[in-house]
Amino acid sequence: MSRIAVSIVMEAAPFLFLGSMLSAAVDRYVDAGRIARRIPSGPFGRLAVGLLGGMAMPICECGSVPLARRLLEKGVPPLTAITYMLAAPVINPIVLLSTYVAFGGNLRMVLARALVVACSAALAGWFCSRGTYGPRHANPGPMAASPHGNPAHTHAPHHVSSQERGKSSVPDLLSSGAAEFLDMGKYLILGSLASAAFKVFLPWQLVQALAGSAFLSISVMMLLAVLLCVCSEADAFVAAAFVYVPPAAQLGFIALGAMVDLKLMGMYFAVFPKRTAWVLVVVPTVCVFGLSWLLGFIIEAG
Amino acid sequence: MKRVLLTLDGAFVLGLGLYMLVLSQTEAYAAFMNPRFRPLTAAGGVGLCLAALAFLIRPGGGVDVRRTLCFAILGMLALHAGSGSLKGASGFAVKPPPAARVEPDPHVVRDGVRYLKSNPARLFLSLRAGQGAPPDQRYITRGVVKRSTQLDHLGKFALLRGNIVCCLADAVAMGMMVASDGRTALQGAEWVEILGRIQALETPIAITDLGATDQAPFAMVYNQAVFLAESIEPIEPPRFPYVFELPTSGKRPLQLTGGDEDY
Repeated sequence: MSRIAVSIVMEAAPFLFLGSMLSAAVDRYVDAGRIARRIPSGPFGRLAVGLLGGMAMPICECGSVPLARRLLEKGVPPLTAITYMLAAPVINPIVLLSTYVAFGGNLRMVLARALVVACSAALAGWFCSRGTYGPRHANPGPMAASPHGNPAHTHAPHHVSSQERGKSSVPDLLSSGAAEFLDMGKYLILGSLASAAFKVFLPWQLVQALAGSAFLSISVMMLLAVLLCVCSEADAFVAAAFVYVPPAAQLGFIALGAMVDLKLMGMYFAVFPKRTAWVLVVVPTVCVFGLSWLLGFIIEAG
Repeated sequence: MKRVLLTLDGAFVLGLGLYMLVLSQTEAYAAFMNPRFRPLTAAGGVGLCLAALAFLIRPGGGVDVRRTLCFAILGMLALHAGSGSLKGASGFAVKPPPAARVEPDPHVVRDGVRYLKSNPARLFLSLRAGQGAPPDQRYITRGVVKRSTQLDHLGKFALLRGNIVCCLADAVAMGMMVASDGRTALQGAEWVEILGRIQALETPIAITDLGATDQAPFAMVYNQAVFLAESIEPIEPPRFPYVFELPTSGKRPLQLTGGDEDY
């Protein structure tokens, strides 16, 4: 069990570190007004930026959460930031190519994965844009402390003052990145432990038998995606190995895992208000289930 | 107290960075991750070390005892994990130098018959990619035996090998259904070397009761072919039980990636 937990952390740590550094860099070098002005004002433009952001800035699911949190704090609309957070781990060239290879050149599966994730991310982003769904610590008071100051809140991201912005040194940036990594790393470790425990103690024979049932297969494979915490670059290879499972269930597995899993759920509930976190868990789950069921027929027909 | 906790946090991040950096340069890395990701882990380790040093000099943010505890637990887990499933005491030895670029001979000759080396996971992946096995092609393969009620009813057993794509968390035991004359009594969980050929099935058989193996939480056998065993010999478990096979897009055959324990 310890090996599995350590391997999950080792796999995700470089990506989480990258996301933390990007988040710290956005905080230090990007002016809130400027970034907000560059985002289109219309909903479709905002959505397109969020969906296609992953093509320009591909990042694993662990790294996308701290970055999205920071983008939201910088005034990026939830429709863009939330959509980017959920879509970027899948709608990027690396993951789409790995899906293509894993499924033996099945282009329908690649397109279906991208479509299901795009729809789910867009819907979750739209829900979050319709209320006060910002990050949990969006009020400027306790978050305004500099790395050298006295931050008042234990979970608050480590903001820099406007005087420091753009002038901070590399050590300051690294220190902020480390602080961000520590904040998010806690949830990565807890999620990895939970996932390792499930792998060791779950009755896999029963799970395998249920996954083979045509009626239950999509739900069971989606549950597996949440419990296993497999990285979005590797999950297609795992799904493709389930040879007796219908394509709809394989699609459910590869579409949901990059948006909702044990470690991500911990991060969502830590970073966002409960209401937002629930939206981020429930909306993709429902959307993936429905679309996988629908698109499964099309893939099978092909 | 705050300063102590922040120093501990920084030390844990530094420890994680050093652990990743050192592990990426040792043999034991393959017990956790696919060796092709060594550069990524090493780069992450270097980055974490630098960030941790900066954090120790100029600590930022608030303190969180639970966060410190989580990283302490991770440290204990890493110590407990040791060199993983790698057999022998040299798990943390520096990784061996890259082998000379000589393609290993993919064949073995036994009693005048040529057998193609292929591990059960590679057979699974190549068949699933649509690369049918020629009826006259003979294979030599090594793996762990797994029995199940469904397979017992069919008079077959599964031959499996744990396959890691990225990290140990995504390991899946893959392999073939094997039909034999029944002269070799197999209990399950023993390592065997099997010689034989592959026969396509007219009707796919879904084996859904294999469950977990020592190597992976779930196991799969290819459902449209069976391996007809000509001989089965018990062998010692290999030094490293996993393989790192990636499927191709189905356009070209899988290559033998080398190593004596690779099949």
